[in-house]
Amino acid sequence: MAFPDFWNGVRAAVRVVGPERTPEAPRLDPAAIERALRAGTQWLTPHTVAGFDEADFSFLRAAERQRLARLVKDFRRVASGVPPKTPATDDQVRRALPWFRDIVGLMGYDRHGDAEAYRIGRQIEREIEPDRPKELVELRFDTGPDHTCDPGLWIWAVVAEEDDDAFLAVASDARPLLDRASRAVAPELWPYISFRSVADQAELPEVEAR
Amino acid sequence: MSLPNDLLHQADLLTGLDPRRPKQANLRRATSAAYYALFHLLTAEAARMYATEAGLAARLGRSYSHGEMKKVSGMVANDRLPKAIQPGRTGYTAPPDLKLVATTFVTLQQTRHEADYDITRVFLRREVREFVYRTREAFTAWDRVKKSDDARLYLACFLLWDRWDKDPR
Repeated sequence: MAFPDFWNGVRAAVRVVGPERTPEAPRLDPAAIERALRAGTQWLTPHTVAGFDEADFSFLRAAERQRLARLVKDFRRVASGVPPKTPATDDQVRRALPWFRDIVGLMGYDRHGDAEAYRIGRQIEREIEPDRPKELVELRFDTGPDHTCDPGLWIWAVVAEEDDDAFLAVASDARPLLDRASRAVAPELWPYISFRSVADQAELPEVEAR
Repeated sequence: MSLPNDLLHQADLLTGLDPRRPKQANLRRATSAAYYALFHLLTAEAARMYATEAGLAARLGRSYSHGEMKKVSGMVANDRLPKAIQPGRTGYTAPPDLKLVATTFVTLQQTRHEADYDITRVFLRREVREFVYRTREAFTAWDRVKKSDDARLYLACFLLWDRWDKDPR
């Protein structure tokens, strides 16, 4: 199974993604994931992580990749004890939930619109790390065709700066950084970059008259 | 003021309306105005290469297509020229100011399309302010680079890319 199948399979099993677009999706913290997992046990089968191959995640740092592999291995150990067509026991859920919660957390479904966006986004974040302005607190990614059907990469950068001039200064520094990194990581995709402030982002539900 | 500058000014004004709860309609129109500011700046400059008489230049300006301009801008931003005018083995590197203009054009055109047609897209005030700011930067960059051969070639490519990109005879 290729990496996109794993990424999509875990997402389908946990059902944590709402109808919001990637830039507006609510943050997915461990508590929110846990709530979603406690709503059912359909995720607790070996099929959920079938075909996971650590080598597919070569774009992650070694430590993160190894942690993911360990989590999948531990999860599989419990999931393989759940008989087909029989609900998992409370004890199996209690043991598997923390591992699967962390797997879901690592996949970043709140910040990545699709598996390709995750793969590219993680690489871009690594690429810019040495020069990343501290005010650049979050990045979200999505891929897809643009309005002329050319392949595009959408990057939403969230900036912790509410003063207009300071906000624009951070954006001016971060834009070329993100542009260079995305062209290096995914030269076939046109990078569409936009900047939002933390405060504007927090007021999203109140946005008037869409 | 000229139409491009008026449109840029309008984008600024619309972005600043209702500072506490900006209306999506105003932010969308601001985004659209910013794109058209740059579009009209470039088409006016392109038409001026062929005609000084205002009426003729305006008619020429109408022959430029958004799609062709996006394609050319994307290529130039990635240091690409059509085959017939590639500078041999050395390859081509667009001047940074021209890259900024071309990159801004492609990005704004997509954003303008989202602003005008995608009602699921949410625009936020500082997000749009940054689009307008970037457009202003592109105006300034254009002013610095517009007298260069690179800039004139870029404008000429809006009409001639396909012809120049055919395999040389």
